[in-house]
Amino acid sequence: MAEPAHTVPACRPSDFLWQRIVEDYRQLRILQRQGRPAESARLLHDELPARILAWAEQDPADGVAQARRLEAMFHHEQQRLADVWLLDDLMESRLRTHLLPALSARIDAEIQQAKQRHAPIHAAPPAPTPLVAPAGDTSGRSTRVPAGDIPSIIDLILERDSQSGARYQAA
Amino acid sequence: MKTATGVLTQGGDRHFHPQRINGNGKSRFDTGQTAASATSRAVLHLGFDWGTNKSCLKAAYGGKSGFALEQVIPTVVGYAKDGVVDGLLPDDASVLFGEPALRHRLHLRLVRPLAEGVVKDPAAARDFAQYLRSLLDAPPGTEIRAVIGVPANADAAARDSVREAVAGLFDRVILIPEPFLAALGFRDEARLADGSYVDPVRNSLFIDIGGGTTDLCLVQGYFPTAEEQVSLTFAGDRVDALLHAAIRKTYPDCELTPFTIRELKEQHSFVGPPSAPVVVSVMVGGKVRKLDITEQLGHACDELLEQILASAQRLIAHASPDSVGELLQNIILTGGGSRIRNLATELQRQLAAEGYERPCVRLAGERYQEFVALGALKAARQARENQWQQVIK
Repeated sequence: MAEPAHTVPACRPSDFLWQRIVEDYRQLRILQRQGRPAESARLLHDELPARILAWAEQDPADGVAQARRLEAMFHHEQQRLADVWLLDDLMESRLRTHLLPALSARIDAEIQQAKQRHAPIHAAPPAPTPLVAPAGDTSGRSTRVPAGDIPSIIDLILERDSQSGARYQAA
Repeated sequence: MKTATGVLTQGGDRHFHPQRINGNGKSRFDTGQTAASATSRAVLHLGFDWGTNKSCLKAAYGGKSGFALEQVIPTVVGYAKDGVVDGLLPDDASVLFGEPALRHRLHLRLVRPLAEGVVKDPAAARDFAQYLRSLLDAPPGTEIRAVIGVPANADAAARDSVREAVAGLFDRVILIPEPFLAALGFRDEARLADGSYVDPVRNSLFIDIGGGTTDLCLVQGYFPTAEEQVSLTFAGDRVDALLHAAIRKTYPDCELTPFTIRELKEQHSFVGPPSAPVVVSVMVGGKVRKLDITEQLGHACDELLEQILASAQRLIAHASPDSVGELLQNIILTGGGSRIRNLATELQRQLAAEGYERPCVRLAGERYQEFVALGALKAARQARENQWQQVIK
């Protein structure tokens, strides 16, 4: 009996297992990043090895090719996640240093204006509304200081130095 | 403040007189410091690359473009051996530094103050720093502000030991990781407007191969994070050690000195297939012996290449995929180890063999010993007044 001209190739069980390995590895890296050691250890020591073993048994490729594929996947996933985290850091930094303070200041100004419009003529001055402070130099410094900005680079180095308790006096 | 009129540091054989240092008959330890305020004093900026084997100084007065001092000095201190007869050492010096120390090593106890990029012998480090300070020959009252390069992975203790060694010699200091200083020193600001110039801090991988450490640094427009810098303790000294051990094994009757080993390496080192056998003539027991060290030398240098390749791959993997294409075109080798024959071409070949697309590895050039100090001097000139640190002794 002739086969139909266009068939959808059936997925092998090893393909499903491979997909799970990729997802588990990604999850592992995220858990590590989030500082959740118990969950990441369980994934790393129990679930992921078992899944890799199951996949290796079902996958038709030889051991060397399998190891290479795993290696390439780890590398690819690490790169992807590094990119995502870099973007995340940049966004967070921008949000903290620019967007939130600007938004907060604008809301504050509008609240003050609204209060002034509706307040009795001789009412006491309104209490100041707290603003979201921009990230301070010591805690929220962007990890990315332009290479040409030497004074900011020195600030960053001194900040790290002072955290390590070096013995010196600033001028 | 006048110093070094008697015992400079602790240690039985370290009593020496300032007028005898390196035998030039001049008092060299006058640090020329006064109590004048910073604002009223002339400022001498110093870029200081304190390397395990070689140190480089670049000094310039604030507001002036020329150099007051440019010097590369072997990082070694030689203390006169007990009982050396008069007239053997220049001006009967009790201590020599740098080249004169190496020249007269037969009558000296040579001490290398640094190992693997950090201070190993604090007393010798202090003596060496005092010698460097004396070279500056600044007028009394001049304030000396030094930016000093330290290995990327130097911990707080290592940085403190550097500060300790220079305390009181330089008025103010800032310590900055060496790999970044190398990139900064290599950057030619005068050519930034030139469309054909590739700004090395835009997207490059710097590989600085020194005596004590090999530093790799990813510079992609920003000051590198800790993850973007790798400092290996496998560097020139480890190559020497491997070579020494291999020669000992092959030629057990030929005991060579570490100094000879280093000379052989500096003259003949190579990676990849040898272009010709390396047969050297050495003096053993008063006789000249010819030794074939091709295999031993090739193996030792290949070990270094292997380490560099692995670390380079690690850093390339850390770079954003979008930046890798350009990054691979800007892999720059500098430091003394960059003189190993075929290192750039062999690293490039091996990267290509690993699947990286058209990598291009090049040498920083003839001034490979100067980039860290040059970068340090640039940083010193741009540092803000309040960033300079006064070291507590």
